[in-house]
Amino acid sequence: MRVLAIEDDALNRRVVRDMLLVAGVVMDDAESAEIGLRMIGDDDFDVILMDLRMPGMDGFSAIDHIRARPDGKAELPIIVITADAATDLRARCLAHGADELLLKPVAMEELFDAIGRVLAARGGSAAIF
Amino acid sequence: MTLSRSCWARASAGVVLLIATGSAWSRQPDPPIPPAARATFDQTIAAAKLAMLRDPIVARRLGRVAHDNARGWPLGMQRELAVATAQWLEGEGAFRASDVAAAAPLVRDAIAITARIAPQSRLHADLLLSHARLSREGGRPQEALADIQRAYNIFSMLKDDRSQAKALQSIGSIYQDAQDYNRVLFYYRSAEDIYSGDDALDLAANNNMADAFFHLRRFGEAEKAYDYSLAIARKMQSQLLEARILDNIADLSIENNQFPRAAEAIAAGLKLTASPAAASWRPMLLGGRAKLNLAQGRLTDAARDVDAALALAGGASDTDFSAVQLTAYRVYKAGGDTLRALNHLEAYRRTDGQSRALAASTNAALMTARFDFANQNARIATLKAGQLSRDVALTRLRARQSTVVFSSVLALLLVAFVFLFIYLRSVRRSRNAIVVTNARLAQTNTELGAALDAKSQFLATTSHEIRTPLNGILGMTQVMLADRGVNGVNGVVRDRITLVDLAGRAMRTLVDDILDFAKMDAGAVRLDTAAVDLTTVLPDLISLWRVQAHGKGIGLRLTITGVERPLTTDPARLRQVVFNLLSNAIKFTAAGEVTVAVRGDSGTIAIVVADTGIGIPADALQAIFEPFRQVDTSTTRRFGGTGLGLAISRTLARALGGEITVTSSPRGSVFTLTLPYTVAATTAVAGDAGPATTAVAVLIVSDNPIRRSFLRAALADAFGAVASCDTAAVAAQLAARHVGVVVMDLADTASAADADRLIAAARAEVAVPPVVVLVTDPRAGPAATAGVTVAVKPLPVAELVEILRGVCGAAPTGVLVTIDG
Repeated sequence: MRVLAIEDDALNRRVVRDMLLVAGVVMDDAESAEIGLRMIGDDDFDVILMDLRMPGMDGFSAIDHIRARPDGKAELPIIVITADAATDLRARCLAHGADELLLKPVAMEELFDAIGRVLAARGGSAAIF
Repeated sequence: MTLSRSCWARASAGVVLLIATGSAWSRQPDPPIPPAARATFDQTIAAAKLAMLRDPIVARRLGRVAHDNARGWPLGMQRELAVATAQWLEGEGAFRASDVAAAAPLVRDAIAITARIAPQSRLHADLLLSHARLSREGGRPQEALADIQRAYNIFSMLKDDRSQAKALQSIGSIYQDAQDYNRVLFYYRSAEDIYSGDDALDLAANNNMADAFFHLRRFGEAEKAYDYSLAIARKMQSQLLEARILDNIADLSIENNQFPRAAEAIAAGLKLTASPAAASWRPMLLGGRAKLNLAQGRLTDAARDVDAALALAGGASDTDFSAVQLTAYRVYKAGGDTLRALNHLEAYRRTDGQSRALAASTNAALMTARFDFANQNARIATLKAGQLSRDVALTRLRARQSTVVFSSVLALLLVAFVFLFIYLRSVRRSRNAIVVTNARLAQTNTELGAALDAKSQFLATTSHEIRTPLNGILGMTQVMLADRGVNGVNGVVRDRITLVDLAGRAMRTLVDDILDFAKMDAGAVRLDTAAVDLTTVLPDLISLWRVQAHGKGIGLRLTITGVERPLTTDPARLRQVVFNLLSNAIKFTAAGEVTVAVRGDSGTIAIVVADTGIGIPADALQAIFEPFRQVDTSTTRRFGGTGLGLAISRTLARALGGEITVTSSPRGSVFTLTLPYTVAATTAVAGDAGPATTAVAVLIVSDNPIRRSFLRAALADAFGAVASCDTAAVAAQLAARHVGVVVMDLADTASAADADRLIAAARAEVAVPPVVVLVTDPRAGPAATAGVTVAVKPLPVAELVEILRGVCGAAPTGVLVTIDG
């Protein structure tokens, strides 16, 4: 399984990478939405982890770009991970097409559950890896 | 243009600080001071204060005289306070006379005295403000802000509105250095909200707000504010201030291309400088005239004015004069005298203090958070007070209206037509007054709302800034604790990391609680109601606390009576309240048990959480619902917690239409949450049917947490209740429950022998249900015996569902189990 984390903060990239290692998953990362979108185009990922506040393109726009793709990657599962606790944030993320929202600080079990859920939610296309 | 504005900012802020000290020493009885010496001292101090605004040099000298006088007094507290007062005035005078080097030690010495013997006095707060000005002058805005904050707190404790306003103005002046003009306006306006009607304060406020408008290029507003300050300066009969304001008006008019107005202001200003009091501003006004002449292309006149200004420059401080330096540079450059021009540019750069502005801006930004919060609270309190008085006014007007109506009706009975006319007029007038008052009230409400919004916004931002680093801390502790491999930590290091992890979690709860509470404070409890089945929701909730209760050796029981049908409420909020009550009950109970009893009748549901804990003293029973309150501070140390839980719970309970009440004795406490029992119309029930309370059809065993989550989610559609555990716990899990079918997901590294051993271990305990083993390498699978099916990964979910159905029929059934019992 391949996971791509789009996150500008190096410490937070490290946190997610080490957490995923506990589950035996090696993570790819991108330090900006622009780089992340390019990597999604070039490579095949199973799950995208997305920060919201980033210099340059923000997470919402990046989600819009992914969902607007003409190919099958438009359906990629996206999990938003943010420190922003605004009241209406969940609704906004879902409106943009995100699958899940996790609030920092992220509990490891929550992260694993979210990944498991979004993979399973892809239904027929899902295979046990 | 930038320059002349900031120098005025510095100078005019000085205007603000003439204030009466609260003569704390006069109340001290001991030791006696010779009455003659005391009288002379008092007179000197009064004279020094009087002179401060008009002639700081005289004030400084008088402060020195008072200082010498006080030093002759017998030793004691009175003498010390008198010395501090005199030093303060002497230092203040020196500062205003631009002798910062002399002012600093005087103010510092005086502060040391008051900090020691009168740390809550007005004198101390005034000294803090003086010290803040010195820090600001020295380019240390964060120190200045810290002093102002302390002064502000003292003034607010003394209920001294005027001085509070003065402190807020001082904050505004720091933002002037930082060139953050919107904030400048904000702080001066906040100061006005708290106190107005004092010439010195109003003058400073209007001038500095005018400067801010000027910088924001809101020229119309700037002009109005300057004109108003000019009127105040005239009323105060201060020719110096008048000249300075005229200089600013000229500057504004030049910028705004109103040259005649500029010329008029400069002429009036120069005329004033004929008097000794305003003479010191003459070079700046001449510089202003040079600027005007330059703007109008009269280069010769401009050069003449610049030369004249420079000839007089000796008396002007560098900062005040820096605008003239810039004009000189421009004039000489336009006249082709490049060398002289460059000299003045250099002088200008030296005095400009742009680096100071930069530093101030950075530092001020850092400190904004703390200040805005304090200030928002001040603003909210003032607005609320204002609202109250307007409420009263409205009530009075209404009363008057009814009186008018009543008496007029009486009059009608006596003389109909004459009084009908009066009646109509009076009623209309009263109505108009009510309309006006209502409009004001609405405006106050809007402002109050905006202030509350700003507060919530501040908290949300702070929460974001705390969550980000906390993510790093908790992320790494979790990873370290989860890692059982060679890089894992063990022994005492593991214990220490567990403590860091716990502390981090506590901090997360605190941030969540504070944000939650702030949202509620702003009235934003949004309810999302649904049909809630308490017989599902409550057992789930309680199961979350079982491990902890068990660990402390206390029992945890739930009884539900009279709740046959679901009720309509907000399930998430209901859970939050009960969770809080349970958390408290378990936290404060050392032995015995915690019971949750639910009783429903026709109209209400009562959820009663009773413990056998330490109890709550009777006099604290109401206080525990106030934010940040626990029974005493030692409670916080012993039991932790934010002190927000009950405040949040009560607010939520009320939002749900219910209430929380408490009774307590030394043998324990009983918290009762009552909710209206509105029976849900639909049969759809909220609350997840988790594996804890329902039959477990499929048990997934895997050491990979993501695969566990994935399989749980993927199989839930087909089989409903799916539970999971990791391999280490499989035997215990199997022993504890009856399960339809087991899916055993073997780790890539596992061998057939591992699988056999696990199955055998389980079989030794109970009759094992059918087992499906998922393997990567078929050779690694366990021996295919009766009841064991082997499937090879990767494998589509649909296929696994088929295999499971084949093994045990369409609907594997188990029995009701509770998890973590």
